[in-house]
Amino acid sequence: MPRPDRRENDQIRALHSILGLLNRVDGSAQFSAGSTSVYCGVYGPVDVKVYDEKLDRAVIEVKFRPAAGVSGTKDRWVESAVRGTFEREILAQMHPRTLIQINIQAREDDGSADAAAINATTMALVDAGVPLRDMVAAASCAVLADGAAVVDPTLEEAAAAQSVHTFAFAGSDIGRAGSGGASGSTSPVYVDSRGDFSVADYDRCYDLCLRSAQRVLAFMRTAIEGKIAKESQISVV
Amino acid sequence: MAETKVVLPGDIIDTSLDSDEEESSVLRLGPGVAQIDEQVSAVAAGVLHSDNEKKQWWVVSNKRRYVPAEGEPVVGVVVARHGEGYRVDIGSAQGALLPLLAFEGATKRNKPNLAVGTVVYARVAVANSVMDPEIECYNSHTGKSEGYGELAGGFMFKCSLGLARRLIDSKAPVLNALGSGIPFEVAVGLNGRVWINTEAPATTVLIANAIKNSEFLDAKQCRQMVKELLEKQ
Amino acid sequence: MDMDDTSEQQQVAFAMHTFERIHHTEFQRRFLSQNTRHDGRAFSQFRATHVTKGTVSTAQGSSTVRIGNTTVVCGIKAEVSEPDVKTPNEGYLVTNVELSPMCSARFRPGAPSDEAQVASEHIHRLFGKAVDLATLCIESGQAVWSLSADIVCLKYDGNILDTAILALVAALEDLRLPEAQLDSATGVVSADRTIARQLTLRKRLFPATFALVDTYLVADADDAEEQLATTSVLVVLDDSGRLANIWKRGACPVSNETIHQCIESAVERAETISKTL
Repeated sequence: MPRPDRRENDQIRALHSILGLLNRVDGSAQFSAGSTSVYCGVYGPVDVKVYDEKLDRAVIEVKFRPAAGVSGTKDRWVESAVRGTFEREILAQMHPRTLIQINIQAREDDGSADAAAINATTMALVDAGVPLRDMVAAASCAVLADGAAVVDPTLEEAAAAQSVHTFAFAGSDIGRAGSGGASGSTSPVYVDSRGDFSVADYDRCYDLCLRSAQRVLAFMRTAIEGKIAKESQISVV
Repeated sequence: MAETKVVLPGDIIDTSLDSDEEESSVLRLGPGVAQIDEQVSAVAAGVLHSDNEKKQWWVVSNKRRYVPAEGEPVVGVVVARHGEGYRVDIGSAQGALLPLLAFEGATKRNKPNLAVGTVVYARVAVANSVMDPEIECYNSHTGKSEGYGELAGGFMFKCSLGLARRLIDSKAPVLNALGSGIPFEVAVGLNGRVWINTEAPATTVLIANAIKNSEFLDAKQCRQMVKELLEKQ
Repeated sequence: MDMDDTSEQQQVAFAMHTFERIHHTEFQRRFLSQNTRHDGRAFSQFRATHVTKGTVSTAQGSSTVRIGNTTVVCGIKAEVSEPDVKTPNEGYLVTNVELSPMCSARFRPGAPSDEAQVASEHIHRLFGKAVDLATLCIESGQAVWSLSADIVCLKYDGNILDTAILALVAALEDLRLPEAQLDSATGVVSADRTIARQLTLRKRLFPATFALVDTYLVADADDAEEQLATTSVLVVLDDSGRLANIWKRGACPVSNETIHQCIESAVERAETISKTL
């Protein structure tokens, strides 16, 4: 069955990003996949409240605001997912007694917004120059009623799907998988598979998401390298 | 030897040396490079630089948030006065401490008195992860002011740390081009703050704009931009 | 001789207690490196699980679930309300997990902590598909049942998600809804308490949580172990053996093989709990 937007089943939507679009934060990014679009602004390392202060590492705080309506429990859930994903990747021990604050604002949610939030966060953290162990790329996949697995589902597809799967991988892991390694040797940083599915469905989505994440990572690389080349032309040339 | 390789966080840096020295030799990892697990990898996005002679690797990246490093010149604003010193905002996570006597020739009886809001040009004296940063308005090794001290009058604005680093170079094209056209005073802090002083406010605005505009321009474009701005004046 | 013996024993006991207090991480690691856990369980062993249904007489459905020392009470209150315009035939299921200072010193009084909100939200998402909300309809577009499930933790000793999910499954199975009718003339809903209708769950959910402590994968971590674990994997299965949820969160990456291991363990666990429930 063809997809409503005539995409191939393993085809992600067109990606678009802007780095450093907000001028009052330390680092920012907009990440869009089709009409799903997320802003992320990062402050850090900044001063932390004495109550929260950790003596051996930076505190990581994530705030998520939805595209419309008031912030609620749903958003706390996304915040906890993003915080968990980046807790190890941010080298928090390099900036003890400080705060790294990640602010995410959904602009439009047309499916796979969790993955977009993670991708936007990676780009904003890189833009802010927060020390990172690795970049993280996320992708979603849905198993439809007819059993077909489609990547980067839209809101419509996700609502009608049997199950929806979101995975995030560290860059080096994706690199290893790309160089001929089987997906069995990769280790996702974040997994959220929900609905009604079998282990085979899970494995199928895992592979599809890994391949999509590979494409997302390549896209982010190009975008960031482009910005660095533009900025440093004087010191390079 | 300069290389122009762009690296991103997580990229593994090949630290094997061209020369056939023993492997146990010490590697020096600068900003943006760290040892993760068993490998040396980039932790920030930027241009990788290396010096094979000194076995040094570092990444030049552009940031907006300042993390103090010892010996760097900074431009700060006095935000409070305590018994033992001033609290100065230099854009880092914690405010920096400027001791009352950290000025050239200052004694207990004769020391400068800075009001809240004063802009100072200082040098980072203490910067580590455990203590709040400390700055001084003289070089404590020589006892001379070396240009540090209160910046009276003028205008201060912020820019990216990458631009500040390029401006502090005496060959910075935008400053040289401006300098050949109009007289002005400038103090560049590596914390991404630039202070300028001229005779007329209009000139101050012109210079501030020229510096901000130069962020993405190369030397030739800088000269062209400054030329156009000066003609318009 | 006797005196010496007891004093020495006391000293040993004291040293171990002190060791646990002053170096919690190392204390736990010593056990794990010996392939055991501080409470004597094997890595893949869950704590004793007890489920009692109908523990709150004032609620329409209730349960008490204990996993080891973690105790939660779940009560479901059914109220009549107007349906959402977008879904005129569907009722509501509202979940709320309460982690108050009563159950552990880790929690503070006041607004629900992030942890409690995340648990509430996750459970809400899980049960969205387990309960057929259309069966909660009294009169399309006019009146539906709104079920508010309050999951209150009485004693917190880790693994709140498993306990809360089991408690909600048990409480939903215990739920008896009176037969209700809407009087179209007056617009009043009248309920006949003598005819009680049971809610049929689309699927029963069997959760299993695994935590990664250092490099060791342990099932059903208690509070002491949870404090060291930065990463957890929740696997939820339904009664037909299909998966309902895999949720890996936290800092450390978990290999795909490990996730498959978790699924296998969860299948075994589901078989055991389905007998208790």
